[in-house]
Amino acid sequence: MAEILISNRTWNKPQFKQMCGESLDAMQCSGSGGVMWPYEPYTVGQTSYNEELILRALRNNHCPQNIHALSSVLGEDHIVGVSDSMVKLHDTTSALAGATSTVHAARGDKFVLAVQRYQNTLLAYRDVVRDKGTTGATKASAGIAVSAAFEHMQKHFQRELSMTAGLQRASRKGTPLRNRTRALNIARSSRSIKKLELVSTLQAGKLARFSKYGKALGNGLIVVDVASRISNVQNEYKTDGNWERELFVESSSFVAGAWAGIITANAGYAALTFLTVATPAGWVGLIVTAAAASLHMNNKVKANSGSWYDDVMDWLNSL
Amino acid sequence: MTFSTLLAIPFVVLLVGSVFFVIFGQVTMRKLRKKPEIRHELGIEFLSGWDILSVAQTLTLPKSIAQRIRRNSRGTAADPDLLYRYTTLFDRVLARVFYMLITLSVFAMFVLIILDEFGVFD
Repeated sequence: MAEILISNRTWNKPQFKQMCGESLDAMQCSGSGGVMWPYEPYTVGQTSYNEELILRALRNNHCPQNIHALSSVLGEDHIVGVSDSMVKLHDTTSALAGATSTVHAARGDKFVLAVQRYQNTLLAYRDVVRDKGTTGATKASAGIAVSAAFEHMQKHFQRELSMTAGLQRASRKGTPLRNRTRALNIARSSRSIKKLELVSTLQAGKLARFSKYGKALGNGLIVVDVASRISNVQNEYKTDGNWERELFVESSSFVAGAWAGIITANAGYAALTFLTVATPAGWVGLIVTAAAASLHMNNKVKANSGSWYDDVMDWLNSL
Repeated sequence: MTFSTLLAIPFVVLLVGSVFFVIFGQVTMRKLRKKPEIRHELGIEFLSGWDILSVAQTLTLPKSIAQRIRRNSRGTAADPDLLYRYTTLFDRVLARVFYMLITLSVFAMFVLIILDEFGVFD
């Protein structure tokens, strides 16, 4: 297990000692000058070979900066788990774009609003704690607002919450969405140094990949770019491979997968209106069907479109 | 004919349908979105541009079924009566061609994939 520290500002020796209770000299600084530089991953103590590999995986481009921002939003305990599952999902996100996001939006809109409200009350609470709150707001009143938003969210969106919290691997302390006290604690202490605990280079690589296509927006929302598909094409281009073929495969499977999901969702949506009550089971069934259809189509076309490209090229060359 | 070749046929149709999607969006939808009377009756927009699909679906389905969907959906589906009033025959034909091309090709691809799962092409 390697402990990696990333900061968003420069720390000199006395500041660091006061902040972490440890001497800066114990840190393995790759930068010099006796200070801790912002957005530079550090290990504590002597760097082992394994840790050096992890640092190398984290230290390219703007990764540390993104990782810092993302872990502020997700919490240090969760970002490793989230990046793990997101990388697994990343191929599927674009195929799912047609299906899940659409159906989800119908119900999800309200859920996102509830989470947003909860988050806003937490931010207001933090302002009050730091004496920056609006006039008249006390710690007690801000706390009550947090509770109310939390109760509302818990009462109305059980299923969404368990889905969202399931994505973030269960930690003993619980996630902020599930546990009000933990959310209040996170709001109270806004730490500028993030500590990540990584077990392997594999995890570090996943984290670095995740940081490339996940963006932390101002309000704490995370946007995952579909653009990551492009990376397959770019890799092929970089290695002097047949990148036109790869582009054809990626884009054709995207088109087929998206249309499959959209058509299934749209037809299913119309069919659902014929039921007197669109029960949650109906919605979930629709999401699952549309997503499965979309994914399956994506895989099938991906597996076959390479040979389509070859056939077309052969035919063109024979003219 | 191999599975791969057979799958390529509806895929080409799907691409043609996607071209019609753009044409329909530029010709009919642009016109409809400019009319204040119908602007908000084009169906729910899950994603930007989703209303293009729901308008095409409404114009393709038999009018009575579309009206029932509209009644049952509490206003989230496109309004067929208004749509028929504000579209020309050309718009309707365009919508039907676009919607049928996309739906049939996706459906054909599904059928092929399912047949392939049962080992018909082995």
